[in-house]
Formats: sequence, C-alpha cells, structure tokens
Amino acid sequence: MSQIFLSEIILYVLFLAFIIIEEPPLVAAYIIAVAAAIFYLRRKKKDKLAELERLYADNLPKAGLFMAVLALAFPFLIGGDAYWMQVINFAMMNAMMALGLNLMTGRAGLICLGYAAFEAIGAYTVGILTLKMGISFWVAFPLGGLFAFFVGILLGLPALRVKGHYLALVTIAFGLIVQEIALNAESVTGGTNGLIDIPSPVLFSHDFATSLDFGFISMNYLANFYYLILAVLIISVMAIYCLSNSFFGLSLNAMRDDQLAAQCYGMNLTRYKLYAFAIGAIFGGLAGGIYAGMINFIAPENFGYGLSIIIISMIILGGLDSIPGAIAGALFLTVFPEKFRAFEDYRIFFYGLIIVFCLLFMRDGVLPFKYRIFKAKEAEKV
Amino acid sequence: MSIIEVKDLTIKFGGVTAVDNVSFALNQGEVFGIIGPNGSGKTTLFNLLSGIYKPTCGEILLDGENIQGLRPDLVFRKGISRTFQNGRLFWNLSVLENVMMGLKDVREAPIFGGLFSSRKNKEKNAGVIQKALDIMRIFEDLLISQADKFAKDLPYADRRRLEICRAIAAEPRVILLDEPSAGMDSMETIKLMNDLLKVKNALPQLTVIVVEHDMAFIKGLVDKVMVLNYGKNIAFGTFDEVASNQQVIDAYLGQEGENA
Repeated sequence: MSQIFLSEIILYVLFLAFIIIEEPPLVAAYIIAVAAAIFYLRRKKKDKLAELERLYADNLPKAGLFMAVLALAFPFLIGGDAYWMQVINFAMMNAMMALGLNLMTGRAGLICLGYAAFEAIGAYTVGILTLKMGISFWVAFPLGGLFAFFVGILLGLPALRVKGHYLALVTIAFGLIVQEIALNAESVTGGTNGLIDIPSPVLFSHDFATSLDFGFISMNYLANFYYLILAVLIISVMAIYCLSNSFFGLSLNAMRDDQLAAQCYGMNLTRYKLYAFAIGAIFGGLAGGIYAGMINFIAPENFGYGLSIIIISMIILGGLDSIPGAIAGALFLTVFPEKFRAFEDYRIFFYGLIIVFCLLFMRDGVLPFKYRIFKAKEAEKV
Repeated sequence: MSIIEVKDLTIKFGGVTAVDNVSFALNQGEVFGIIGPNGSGKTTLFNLLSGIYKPTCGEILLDGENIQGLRPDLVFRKGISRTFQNGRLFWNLSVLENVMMGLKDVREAPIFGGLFSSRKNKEKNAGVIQKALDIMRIFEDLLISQADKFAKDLPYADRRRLEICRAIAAEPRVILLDEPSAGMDSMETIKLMNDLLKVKNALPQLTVIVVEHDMAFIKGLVDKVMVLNYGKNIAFGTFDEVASNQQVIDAYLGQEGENA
C-alpha cells in the first residue's frame, strides 16, 4: 500500500514542479530528465514496475481515492493562481474528452477525427438552453451529454458502412458539418459571433462566477469550476472504467481486433458500433457543457478540426485503450504548450515534436494498457 | 429429420459460379468432410453457410428452419459456429477472453450492465470465467495453463485448439471447421486429429462439417465426404466410395499421384 501512496505522491510532486517551472530551457531540461527516467525505469527496472502496476490493479479503489484527495488539495498548493487554474480546468476537460474518444478509438477501434464536434454540441446545448430559454445549468448540462449521445448515434449511422481510412474521412466531414451548422444557423447559434454572456452555474445560491471563499483563503472563481470538473471527471472515469471492464468492453475489444470474426461470433456490429460512438460522445458533450458555463462565451472556431487532432494526440501519447494514459496524455499536452507561450506561434512546433517523438520511440504510449480484463484466477473456486 | 440440409445452393460472382447447385443433408452427430482442389469453392460454401455471403439461389435449412441470407451474427445465434482458414482469433484478447467471446452470457449481457451492482457482477463474471475454463478442459491443461496469455502469443497448434474451443463455447448444433490442419506438419496434424476426436467424444450430438486438403486427416475423421470441383458436387458418400470414384481421382487424387 505504502508503495502506491509513495508513487502517487512522487507523480504529484513531479506534476506540481512541472507547473511551477517557468523558464523554457528549464522546462525542456526537466521534460528530458523525466523522460530519461521513465526510459530507464522501463528498460532496467521492468520487474519492479510490473509489480507496482499489479499492486495498483489489485488496490484500485484505494489508489483512486488517494489520487482524488491529492487532486482536491491542488488549488491550495498553487495558491489559487488564476492562470494555472484555468489551464488545469482545460486539462481536465480535455481529459474527459480523451476518455470518451478512447472508448471509441482505443477500445472499439473506431477512429474518430471529429470529436470536437461533440464538445460543440454540449456547449451549444448548454449555451442555447441557459441563455435563450432561461433553463438552469444543472438541467442543461446533462441534456448536453444526452444530446451528444444521440448525435453520436447519428454519426454512427453513416460510419457503419465504412472502415479504416474511409471512416476517418467520414468523421472529419462530420466535425466540419457540425462547425458549419454552428456558423450558419445564426438565429440559434449566433453564427460567427457565437453566444455571448452565457450565464454561469449557480449552486445553492452560490454563483460560480464569484470567488470561492474557504474562510482562511479566498480563491478565484475558477476554483468553483475546478471542483465541478474534478467531480464530473471522477464520475466519468468510474463510468468508463466499469463499462470498459464489463462484457460490453470485452466485446468492443473483440470488434476492434477482428470485425468479421466478431460478427461470426454473434455480435451485432451495428448495435455495438452505435453504442461505442454514442457512449464515447457523452463525455465530449459534458465537457462542452462545462466549457460554456465557465467561459460564458462560445464560438464555432473553439471547436475546430485542430481540437479533434489535439484530443486524439492525447490518447496516442498516453496509450490507446488506456484510461490512465488518456488522463496523463491530456494533462501533459494541455499544460506543455503553455510552457512555451513565450515562443507564441512556435509552441505548436514543440507540441508536434513531442507527438513525432512518441510515435517513433513509444508506440504504445506512456502508460500502455497491458493487462487483460478477465483473468483465470477470478473464476469461482470449485 | 436432418439437422442441416442444403438444397441447390448457388452463388455467382459476376460470371464465375463459385458454388454450383450443391445439395447435401446431414443427420445430427455426423462428421462431414468437404474436399476438393484449390479454388473449388470449399471456403465459399462455408461463407454461404455462415452467412458471410448471400446465395444467388438455393436453400439452407437448419433443423427445418430456413436460414439462407441471414447475417452472420444471426446465423451464429441459430446454432452454426465456425473457424477460419487462416485463424481469426481476437489476437489482443487473452486466451480465456477469446473463449468467453463464444459464450452466450457475454453476448447477451446488457450494454450498461457493468455500471450497476458490482458485487453481483463479480459473481456473475466468475461463473462465466469458470464456464470458459471448463470448455478449455477438453484439451486438458494445454490451454488452461496459458489462459491469461494473449492469443497472439500462442504457438500455432494451440491457436487452432483455441479456435475450436471458442467455436464450441457457443454450444452450436453445427460447427464448421475451415482447413483446421492448414500449415501444420504431419505430427501436428495427427495431434489435431486426436483433438477433434476428443471433441467429438465429449460432444456426440455435435454435427461437424470440415473442409480439408489432407486426405489422411479426412479419412480418419469423417462419416461422409463430398468432393467439390469448380463449385460442383462431383461425388458424395463414404470416404472409400469417394476415393475410388474415377472423377474424383481425375480432379484431385490423380494430380497427387502424378506428383508423387
């Protein structure tokens, strides 16, 4: 147990340090040092690492709980710094999207290059419902997820007929269609101007746009959203974990490996593909809903093709089909470009560099999914 | 009544008639061999039987019920399961999970079932895992000892065994084996034959249709044989009857004689 706590604290401190270091050369040196350490551990301490992984797998609830406690303390440790709170909020929303996309692309093997569209759907649902119809955020927010679910089915229908590269093209087109609709349906979406002054959520008469007062410390309004996003993220992780480790998740894995064989073994591919798209889409919709409530302004260009690519990069970096990988990938790839904001336009270049490096040297990602879902030892003892 | 009956089954790909007016009927528990030279339509016939191709005309009756033209997953649910010529396991699933994919419990589990009541789920999962292990017991310890390995890490012969396990996990009425001995040497082929006899002994009610190249393999295994050539059924009967048929010798065995 103590090994789990210790390793989690080490990771946490590493992440904190990553946020605190500001000078670009230092950041670069830091990343290289950590990457080298990971390389070293993977090569030389394979057994120790495998043992630790097994320990995590056997004590998942406790490990998760401790991680959540560490996450709760995070805003205090950075002293409620508004800029970094904002970045971390985005990182966690991206993590939610990466998890949803991971279910489609990692687990079910259905590539999707238009995932940002689902965030747009959630954001516009919340924006339109709260701004134009005066419906409470807390009603509109789950509706955004639900609407994304149905749009996921809508995307799934044409996608059923195509595979591989063609599916990639269909999903790109889907992303563009949603963006075009947002641009052109001006009376509803506000067109290029987007939706302005979307109301912030209010919970028990506490307006999320006001600062969060703990008595001994008063934090920027972003702390409200930090805890909201953290709560939704934790629920998302649990839901995705349970789904991935059920017979449904196993069937999605089988479909990814061989669609024809899966069909010859009784899987209704139509049904499973639609569910994979639709369930994966929910998390994009939820992230979008929070985005609308937090930023109070949405426009079509926030949900472009670029965002879809960034989300898919996150799961490639973290390791396809890996839940911790998706979260780690999202945290890293959201914080990292901020470190190089001094270089302005060039920060995308550094970002690309990381992706190329990963694809060349770490094909399975940083935290690959190595263990299978069901194991022989779980059988009932006879 | 016959468990499976095929009447005038035909499929045309453009101008080519890959399977041409093939008919046969099998009783429950019979082992039926289909032989023929390369490109004679054996695998195409299997693809018709398992629903991957839709026949141009003809009928397939499973226990008196018409099943031609159904999707592969529906054909499977009616009780026909199959293996594939080149082996199509779920490579990145474990051995155990591959067998589980054949089980009804996994196939019919509710999509969101994993989200609720985790204790009950755990017990249910344990039962399903146990079921899968029981099926693997047909091959004694061979597969069970490797249950947590990835399917892609299995040796060749064990992959074939696993495919057979996955197919019988579905408790099918008819099982289709597509060239189970392909790519095996003579020692492995003999082992495989013994394995199939074991399966047959364990499940005497199971009807087996096996496509093969290897005549010795077929000889020791089957009750009846059909010979296909250019998609046509050119001979039907016991192995010895078929083997002495002049047409068959010309089409198939004769060529082997020349080479030898």
